[in-house]
Amino acid sequence: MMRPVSLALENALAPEHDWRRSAADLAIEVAGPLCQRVPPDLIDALFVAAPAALLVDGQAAQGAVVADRLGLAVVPCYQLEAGDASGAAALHAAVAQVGAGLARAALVVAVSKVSDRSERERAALCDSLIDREVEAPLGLTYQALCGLLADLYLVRHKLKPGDLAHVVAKNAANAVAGGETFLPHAPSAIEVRRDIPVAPPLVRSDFAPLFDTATALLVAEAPLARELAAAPVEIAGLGAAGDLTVVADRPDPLRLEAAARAASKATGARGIDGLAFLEVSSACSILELLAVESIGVTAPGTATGRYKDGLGRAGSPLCINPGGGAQGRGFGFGASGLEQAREALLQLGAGAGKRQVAAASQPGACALSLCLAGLGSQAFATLYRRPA
Amino acid sequence: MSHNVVATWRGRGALLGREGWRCGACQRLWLARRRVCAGCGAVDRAERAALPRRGKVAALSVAGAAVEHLDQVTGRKPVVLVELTGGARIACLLAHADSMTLATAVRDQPVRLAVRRIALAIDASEPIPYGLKAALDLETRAALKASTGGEGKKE
Repeated sequence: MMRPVSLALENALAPEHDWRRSAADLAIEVAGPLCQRVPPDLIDALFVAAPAALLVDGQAAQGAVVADRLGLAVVPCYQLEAGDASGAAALHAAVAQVGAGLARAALVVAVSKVSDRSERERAALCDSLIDREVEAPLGLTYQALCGLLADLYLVRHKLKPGDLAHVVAKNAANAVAGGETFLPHAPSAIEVRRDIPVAPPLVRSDFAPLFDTATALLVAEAPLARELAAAPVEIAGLGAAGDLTVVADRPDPLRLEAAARAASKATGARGIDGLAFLEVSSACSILELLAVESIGVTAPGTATGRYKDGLGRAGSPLCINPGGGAQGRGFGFGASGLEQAREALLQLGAGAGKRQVAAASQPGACALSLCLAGLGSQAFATLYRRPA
Repeated sequence: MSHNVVATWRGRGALLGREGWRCGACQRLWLARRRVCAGCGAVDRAERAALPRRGKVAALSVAGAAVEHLDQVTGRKPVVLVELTGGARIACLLAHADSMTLATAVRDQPVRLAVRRIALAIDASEPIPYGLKAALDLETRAALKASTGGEGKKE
């Protein structure tokens, strides 16, 4: 029987391209303030997600470096690698550790240090997410496979390329209204359609831009979390699942089976109805659409139309990515899953300021985050609950 | 990422021999070897098998990479999702030097799997990678060139 586990404390760095700071610097700056807020001997375990470290810096075992720099070398440190979903994997592992009674409190740190590379090289980081044994030797890239999925989606559902623009427009609007974004303004769907085509029907904006960023969360057993924080948020469910990694091998490439299974496991009998908000990966527009449809928020082929009508925007019946997600806030490679959890802690806990979702302020309110690895080869779903 | 010549040698059956994996129980074809068949659940029944040589284009894109601070995309490559005869599916590049012109017109067109050079721009010190691409038949290609006004070079 798992012990009740809560999210207690959070911190995050604004996504940017900062050549002055290393991955270790980012870890210190994001986790240092949390370490100062809790007694030194309270953190029993450290979980690190830093999948870019090996790809960009050639640094394996980045977790050891982070532990050293944070003064936590004496506690057990576990590094989780699940591509761009590493942060969500680290969160799940930390919750399991605390829930199993192996730790009272665990610090989870996700670091994305990518700005040492050019935009083209940063985009190529995503190529590490496709099946390197089968897909890469055929000359395929992450962008190419996303483009194929998007084209297949439009053809099957008789939609126009411009219909995809509502994903970026929705995420950008939420991000700009929420106040944490790299965007100078929220582009309209018409503006998004005019962006340069990178993998038609997908344009540049459809791919979330990769940034340097870091997020840290303190996960604790529920009674301790109530001592440490004024408004902790309960972990009400976890679900993780995988799918065939070769996209062409999937029975239906437009159904993200991992997302469906993970969300179903996390929500259980409760289902997805009545969620205060939904956090879903927006590394690429087509992946957000397929995830939303695969978990049953909308019927297949209808998400773009629902987005056009306002679904997902602040104030709609179901806000999707209230902080703008990776497309609106900036994409931290391996940090976005933990950023989703941070958003849940703010929304269901202490408050998210300008982007606060009204429904999330209600006692007992629930929210779901769904983090995809690559093109849905894995999915991590987490159900959060505001204490009643 | 640099080319891995050992991985190319290891994958020569798939890349040069047009091979995939067939489940000995349900006969379904897959691109990846799996211990458990994703179709019927049979265990340890995967065996090397030739992929169907022909199929039809189900989806297409022309994927490149954006260049920082410039409204440009470089390294564009036409890519297609092919429904192979017999039920299997493969995503791969479109062959032909004039594929950029033809790409927009290949939807639903018949193609065959052909062994072609994968990357054009590689370091002189690296081996030339070869693998499977989708190739149009001569008649189809000629008809598409006429319809698109393409003036591409002969392959």
